[in-house]
Amino acid sequence: MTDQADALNILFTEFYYWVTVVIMFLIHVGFCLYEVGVSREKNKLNTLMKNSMLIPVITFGFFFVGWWLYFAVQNGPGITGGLKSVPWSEPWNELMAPHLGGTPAGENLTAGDTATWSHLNGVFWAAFLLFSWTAGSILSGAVIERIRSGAFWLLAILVGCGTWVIDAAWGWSDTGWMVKILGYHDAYASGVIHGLAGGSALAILIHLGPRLGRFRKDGTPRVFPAHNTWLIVIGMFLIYTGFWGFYAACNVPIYDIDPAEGSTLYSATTIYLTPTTLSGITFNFLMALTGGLLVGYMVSGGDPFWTFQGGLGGIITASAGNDLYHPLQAFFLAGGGVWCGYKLHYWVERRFKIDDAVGAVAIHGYCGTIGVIASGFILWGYPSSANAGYAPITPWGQLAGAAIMFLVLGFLPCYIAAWGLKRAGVLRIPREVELAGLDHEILALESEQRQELESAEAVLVQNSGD
Amino acid sequence: MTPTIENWQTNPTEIGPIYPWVGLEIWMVIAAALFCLFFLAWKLKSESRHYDQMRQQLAAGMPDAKSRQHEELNDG
Repeated sequence: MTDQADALNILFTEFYYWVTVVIMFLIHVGFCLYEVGVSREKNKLNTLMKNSMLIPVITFGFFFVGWWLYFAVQNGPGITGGLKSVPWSEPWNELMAPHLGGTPAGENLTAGDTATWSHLNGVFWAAFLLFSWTAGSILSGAVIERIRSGAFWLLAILVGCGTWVIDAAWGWSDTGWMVKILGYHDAYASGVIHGLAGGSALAILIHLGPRLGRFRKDGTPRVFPAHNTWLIVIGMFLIYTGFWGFYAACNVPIYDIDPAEGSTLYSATTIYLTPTTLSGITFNFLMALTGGLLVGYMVSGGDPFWTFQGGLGGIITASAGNDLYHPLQAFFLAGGGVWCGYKLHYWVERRFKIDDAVGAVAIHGYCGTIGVIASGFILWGYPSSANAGYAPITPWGQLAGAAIMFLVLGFLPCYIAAWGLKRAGVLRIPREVELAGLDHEILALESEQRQELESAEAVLVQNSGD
Repeated sequence: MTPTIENWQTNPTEIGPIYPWVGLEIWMVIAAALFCLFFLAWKLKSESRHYDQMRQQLAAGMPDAKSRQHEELNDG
């Protein structure tokens, strides 16, 4: 960091991502509250622990494998090049720890590597890790009240440290092969996270089956009333808040976008290093939220659950192109995506008896996929990257990209993994336990403790009266 | 063992890693990875054992009438 402007830029970028990570943590808090609120009283503690423990299991997987995978497989490998050498992301590398950027201790790093990555590696890693938690949490909501925690964590590791990271390397990096060949554009991860996680959730739900009693004999679904509406509402607001941090984390805050030699123009960019502004994406984030809330409210007849989900689905639908859209394009696209997602949810539920407890496949999977495809038409002909020679954005490039996200990397790996777990007999909890409730033993113990305490208090009152 | 940093009164641009035990990272990674694999294996095994016990207890304690009621509910 000899140049003072470069040094300041790196330090600002380090602080910027650090702040986004803190804000994004609220996404996970929101998911936990939301899922616990949706679950029934007899399952709430198990639901909480299943999602909370996703944090450590995905984190260690992402430290060991995920971060390296993101950089190493951007060329496929074998599509636009080989496996990349990315020593700073290897779990045993000195830059995966506190480092002041000076002389590297190892031989496989340059002075440039240490100067840059000593300040950015941890915060970039954390930003991507928080996206991994989000991917895992999307699965978590769909499968509540009947999946075994151990099986769920294995599936969450597969998605959070494997498949989503591969699709990010391919389609959400400035040199990914999907960007180069297909012109894939997905600035705020409509398909990269939401489409993929939705496809993954759908695959798991097929093997997992519906909760006991979810469908009547005539095939119509029963409603399982949420045990705490306020937890759901607070959870959704926290997810919205965390989503602001997510949008910020998807940008590079200061980057020289002037291609001319010797002149400099700093701007925020997307992860593809294409220019945008924080101001512009703020317009679009809020207008997409607005469109989603309005249509969610209308299509559900004012149902609070689907109205809040609609706000989230609206943002997710518009996210692929929210770096470039006009706010009203974001607004209408968000509304259209939520309408389609809502209708698809109920059609799939009735037609295939899929019990998606929180509508995760609809809001993340369908809305995200619709958003990616729609952006191919709206942004048709735009450059997908700042790099010369990359394919422009096209409807067919986005369609292929959406299929890779939802089906190839989302649905297929989880379908196979869930099938294996089902065959091993470790996917679903036993029927008797499901009927009694996953918190059955804890609730029984609490009841005993309460009775014992009440008896003791009664004796004390009697003695004081004597 | 010599600490990585013995004196901060040096040229800061020459300071690299500041954590202890530089050079042993690979062994720490292996140890941590083994622990994590152990945790997942322990969870899968203990969860199966726990649910088997719970199922037996519930089956033994469930009255016939209640069981029938559950059967009727479980038509999906």
